[in-house]
Amino acid sequence: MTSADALPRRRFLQAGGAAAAAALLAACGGGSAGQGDATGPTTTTEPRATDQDQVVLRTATSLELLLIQVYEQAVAAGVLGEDGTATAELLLSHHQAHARAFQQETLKAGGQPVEAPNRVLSQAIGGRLAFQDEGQVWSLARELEQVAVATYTDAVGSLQTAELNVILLGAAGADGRHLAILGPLVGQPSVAASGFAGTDGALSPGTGL
Amino acid sequence: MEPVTQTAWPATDRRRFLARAGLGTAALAAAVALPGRAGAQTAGGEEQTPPEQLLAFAESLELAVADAQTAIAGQLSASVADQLRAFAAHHQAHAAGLAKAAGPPARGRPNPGLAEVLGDQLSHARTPEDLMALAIDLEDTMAATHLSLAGMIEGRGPLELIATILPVEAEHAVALGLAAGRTGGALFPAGAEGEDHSPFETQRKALDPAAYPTEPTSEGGQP
Repeated sequence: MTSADALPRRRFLQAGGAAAAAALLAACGGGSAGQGDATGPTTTTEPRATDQDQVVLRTATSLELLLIQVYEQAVAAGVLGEDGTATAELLLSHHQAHARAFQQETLKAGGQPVEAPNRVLSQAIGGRLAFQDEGQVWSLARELEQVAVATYTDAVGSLQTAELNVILLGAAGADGRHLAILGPLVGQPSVAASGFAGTDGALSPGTGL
Repeated sequence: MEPVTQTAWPATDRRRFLARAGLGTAALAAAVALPGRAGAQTAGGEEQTPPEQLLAFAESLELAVADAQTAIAGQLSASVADQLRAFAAHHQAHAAGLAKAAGPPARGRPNPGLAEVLGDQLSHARTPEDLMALAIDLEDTMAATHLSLAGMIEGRGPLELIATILPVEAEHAVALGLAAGRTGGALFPAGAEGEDHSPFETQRKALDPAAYPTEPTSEGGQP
């Protein structure tokens, strides 16, 4: 069995969320071609196996830190009602746990943990962090949660350290649950119609670090 | 209600979180019959179950869950029933993808042991709330099982397939939880002792392939 004949997962693209995530990335020139610093020079040198794990972990950390920033900003903006604040704080706490886990795994892999939100995505969302109402919060949060799920889904299987697949997938599942909560808040379904998590809009390892 | 839970296992403890996969692999190697095909040997002599067998196991579970969700749908109001039928179709699609990846070991039939357990659970469900709890538990169980399989399976292709399935089954659990009126941490997997819930998907409810073989046993289902 080859991955090509049995597992064409890019066929299984989610319609709404993935498109939004892809648009988000396209706005800043990121996305699947975004290996390395999107605004700087790229390298053609193939990373070593452990380097690849580090890059995936560091990219994942930067995504989680951006989601933390979004939810913190949303709560601070005072645009959420009581239930909305509780939801934002709940999802925030999950992303804090994910970021900590990814930072710890980066250290174990011999890398330097990321401490700043993803720069490319931060530039892409720009002024959208100046929330004026609850709908703006959930819309942006959903787009970024979709990027996270797509990025982790895309990375599983490519890691050299097998146990990292379980950790990334554990986060992908939790972020999928976030998507299911956020969908109805923006008039979208909780679950992807295709029945499969797409990788469209996934952040390429190294983008925005 | 946790009708099909195999183990209680706190996922936030990283070592135990990861050790679960190793234990599962060892148990699996001892218990799953591989007709006509020997498993590969690791450097340490431990037999590893081929990914095709694990994918076939997952296929059989998906088919059993699809049947159960369809049966539950028939007993609930239209709006929830429609949702459950859509999710049952997802499980059928997951089974088809897993069967294609598994190849000959795929049986194209619901897992006999799980089907028996679920039939019993359905017959004892008295209220719509009971049925919804069972439906939610099934989705949580499937997400947990796929996470467990990700720790057992080697090979990029099978892992990629599982990675496309697990998040959707977690989404199913939340969608049904919302329909049942659950909120907050109740929409997430149970956490370790003292935790309201887990911020990660966990393997707490994962089904053990050794306990749910894809072929009926002489006792008609579970070993």
